[in-house]
Amino acid sequence: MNSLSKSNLGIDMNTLNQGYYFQSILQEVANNHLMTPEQIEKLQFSLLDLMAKEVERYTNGESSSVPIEKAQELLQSITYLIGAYLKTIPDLQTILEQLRNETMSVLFYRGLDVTAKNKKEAMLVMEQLQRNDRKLASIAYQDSIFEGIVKFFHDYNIEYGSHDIPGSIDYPLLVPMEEYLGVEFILRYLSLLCMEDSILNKFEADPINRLIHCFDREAEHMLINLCELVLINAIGCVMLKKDYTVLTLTKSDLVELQNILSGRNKEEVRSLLKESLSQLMEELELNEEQSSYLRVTIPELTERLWNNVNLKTLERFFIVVDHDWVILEEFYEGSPMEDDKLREFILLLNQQATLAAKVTLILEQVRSIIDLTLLLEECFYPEEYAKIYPLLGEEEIKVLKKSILLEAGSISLEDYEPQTEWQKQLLLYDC
Amino acid sequence: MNNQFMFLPVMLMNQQTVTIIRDCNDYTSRFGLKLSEQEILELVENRKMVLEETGRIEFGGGIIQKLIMEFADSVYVNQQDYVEILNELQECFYYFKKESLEEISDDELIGLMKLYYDEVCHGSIEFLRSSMLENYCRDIRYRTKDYQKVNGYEDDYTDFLDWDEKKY
Repeated sequence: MNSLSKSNLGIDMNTLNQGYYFQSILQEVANNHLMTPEQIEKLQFSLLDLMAKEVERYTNGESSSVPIEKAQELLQSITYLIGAYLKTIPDLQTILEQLRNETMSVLFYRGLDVTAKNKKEAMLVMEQLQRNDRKLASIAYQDSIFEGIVKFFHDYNIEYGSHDIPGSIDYPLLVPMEEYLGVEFILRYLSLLCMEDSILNKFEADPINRLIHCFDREAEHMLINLCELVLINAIGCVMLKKDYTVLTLTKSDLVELQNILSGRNKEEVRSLLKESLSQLMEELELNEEQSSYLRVTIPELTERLWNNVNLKTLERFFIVVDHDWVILEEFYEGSPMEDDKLREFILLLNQQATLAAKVTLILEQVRSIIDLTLLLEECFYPEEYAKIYPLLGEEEIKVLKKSILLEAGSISLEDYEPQTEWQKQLLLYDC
Repeated sequence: MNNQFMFLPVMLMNQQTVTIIRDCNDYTSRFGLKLSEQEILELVENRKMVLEETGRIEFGGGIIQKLIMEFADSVYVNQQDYVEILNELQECFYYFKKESLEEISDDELIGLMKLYYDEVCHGSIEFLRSSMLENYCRDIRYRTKDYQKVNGYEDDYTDFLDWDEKKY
């Protein structure tokens, strides 16, 4: 429908504030002189009458006055409910007829019905989301669906606090939501979350979880949008004409991407991004609603991608998924050996004739970073470290360096003074 | 959208209150009490000020109508100090409505004020305010008396009578 049609009296309905819809309409009415002063006065009296009744109902008829804060809440709830009903009317002409001919009480009770219906619909969407048995690694997502929104439905007061959003909704959406209030916010949030879920469902859970893990070891606890992570890497894969379903981009892939994107101006980067997204959407067989939702992200993604291309920091935009690294790091997260077993292992290690044999034995049998660092400390001479590190391999070096990083805490590695010789030499060692 | 009350006709609300107070004259005139137009406007203006001070907002005729009707038959209210008494009672009401943490209804508070005013304070609003209502509201805040019982104040009232009898 054309929002600027004749029935809307030249007012763009899309520019009206969705959270304060009724007030927004009244503002337009006043600016464009769409009602006579008598009609406005009648409307004001009707609203005043409704407000007085609501205060009486709220106080159980025990008080004719309320604190200003409470009155503000009640009035906001009333205007929200009237707005909720007015939103169901498609054109401004009919809205004006309603405002002229009906009392505010009638519109208020109709708004109550609309909001109750919205609440019911939102509960159905929530149940649908809760039934989704695919658990992705995001605590914020699980908390929002299973706790925050449940609390909203428990605490939501449809009459006196219809504009409120009780409960806690932490998980961010791919496209931030603005303006909406009350159950409309929740309904919209849940519907968009459902849509994001349906997009994520086009991918296997393992690649997504690996991607999250590679984004940050603590990503599970972070307030990040999973759909965004997946979308970005999938676009990267499409740009490189790789299999997008695995969501894997390596360091060399980023170099290639840098080559593709360098030398292009911002508009060209945007075009490429848009083209890749369109191709991805086509291959994922997304419907129009899903596609237009993802298209909204193009300007923001273009901005970020453009900046990172110029700064040559594509690893801040795309996520490098180094398959082996993930496995190896998890591999060294095993439990340390029992004391007896460790003693036996050290004896065995000392019996080995060469350094290479010792390192091979370590690579074969050690499963914990604690054991690895202990063996480096106890079983080798300082002059041997320089020869050991090349034998250990790049990934083990990464794990060991990360252990130093963790030990250093907030101190930068340049300022950190390692406690042991293997640490000192490792920091000097450049793989 | 910051001013939530911008759609409410505040001027018209005051006008409505003036009409309601004026109508009360019909009833109070049988007790020899009457408010002139000037006095009515003074009352409405004072109400506006007190509401602002106590951070409250009122709808409908407000409490002034109830106060006029309730106190009309009091022996301590006379035409000479009528508007002054009503202004002070109005101030007392909104102050103690806030102080009582909204635990008592309008009618209960007015009933209590009338009882204390006539029976204990003998027309002294200062005594009513600084002692009786203050104590009552403190009991509410600290839950020290069974204030929720409608007749709860009767104990206080009896205590005061005992005190009077012992002294004199």
